[in-house]
Amino acid sequence: MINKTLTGLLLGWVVLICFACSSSQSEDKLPILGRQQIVERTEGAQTLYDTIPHTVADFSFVDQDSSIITNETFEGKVYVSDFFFTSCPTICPLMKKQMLRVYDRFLNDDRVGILSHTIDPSYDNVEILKKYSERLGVKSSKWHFVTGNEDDIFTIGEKSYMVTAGADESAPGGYIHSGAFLLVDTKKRIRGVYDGTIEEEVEVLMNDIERLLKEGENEK
Amino acid sequence: MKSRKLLACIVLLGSLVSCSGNNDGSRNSQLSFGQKIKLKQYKVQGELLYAQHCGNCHQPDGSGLGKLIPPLTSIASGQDNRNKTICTIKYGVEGPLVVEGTQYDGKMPANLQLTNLEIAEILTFVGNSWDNSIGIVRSSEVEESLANCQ
Repeated sequence: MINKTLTGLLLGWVVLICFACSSSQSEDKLPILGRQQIVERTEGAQTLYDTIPHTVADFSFVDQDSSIITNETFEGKVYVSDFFFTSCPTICPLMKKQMLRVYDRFLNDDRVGILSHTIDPSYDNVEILKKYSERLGVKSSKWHFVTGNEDDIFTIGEKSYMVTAGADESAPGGYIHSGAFLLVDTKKRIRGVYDGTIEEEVEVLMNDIERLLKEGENEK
Repeated sequence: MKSRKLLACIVLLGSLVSCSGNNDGSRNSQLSFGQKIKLKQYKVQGELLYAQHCGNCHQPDGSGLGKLIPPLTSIASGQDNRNKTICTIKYGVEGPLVVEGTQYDGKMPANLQLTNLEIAEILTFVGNSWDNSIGIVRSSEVEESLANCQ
């Protein structure tokens, strides 16, 4: 009798430990950011509710090589996205210096890409972006500087990446934008927001990219 | 009471030392006590102003950005270059520019709102940070340089 209780207790322990392990593992994963959508569907007589995570909407822009850049460009990749403009007198150079660190760190890892949107597309055409990226010394296959329709860029900034991006005559340089770096996973979900002007935050971002890449390996 | 007297002594001594030193201050080691204090004051003020007006582009460590924005980490100390730098801080610069063997071709905005003292403090900070050692830049020097900008 005592033996049975003991075995039961032991079994309970094992189950508990396993549970603890698995739950701590899921805590290790980066959060999925943004508002979720609950979608109702019926399967036979049952009504089911699916939770759809926030994802980056479809887009189509042109990069410094005049290549068309869409979601498919980053298929199967983790990428870092930000918003800037080349004539920016405020925080952009700081952001670009920090993004260069991300670029250097993952230069030879094809699973990682960078996507910088200009919020001043009427000035920042393909030619200007080309010159800018060359003077920054980066490869266009890794780091895409994109321009396109102004409304499309502002909309994807606010709706998909949840950052401030827009024209504002009172701001230095004529535009307001956040200095955020957004980390997007292989399923177009946003997994992290970092202040791209602060070295320590970019350190965290680079760590999180490694974590995402590991997560991707585990899911395979 | 005693501490007050002591303080008065120190102030007096300080001003005596600063008066006796009369060199230009192009080399920091030759500076008098008072000039060293002044240099430190300018550097501290200059650092704040640098962060506010210059650091976003030239970076907090003065390293610049690729071939877009030149570094400030080793600037020449000759009078020609001091004049040129003072004019650049105030009026900006546009077009091709060679810094440390690299050609840049951008645009630096003017900073017309900066006073002569502020420019002196900024250049004193930059000119005595990183690999630089150009000594103190006074507002009188800034005034003179600005009168001769091209």
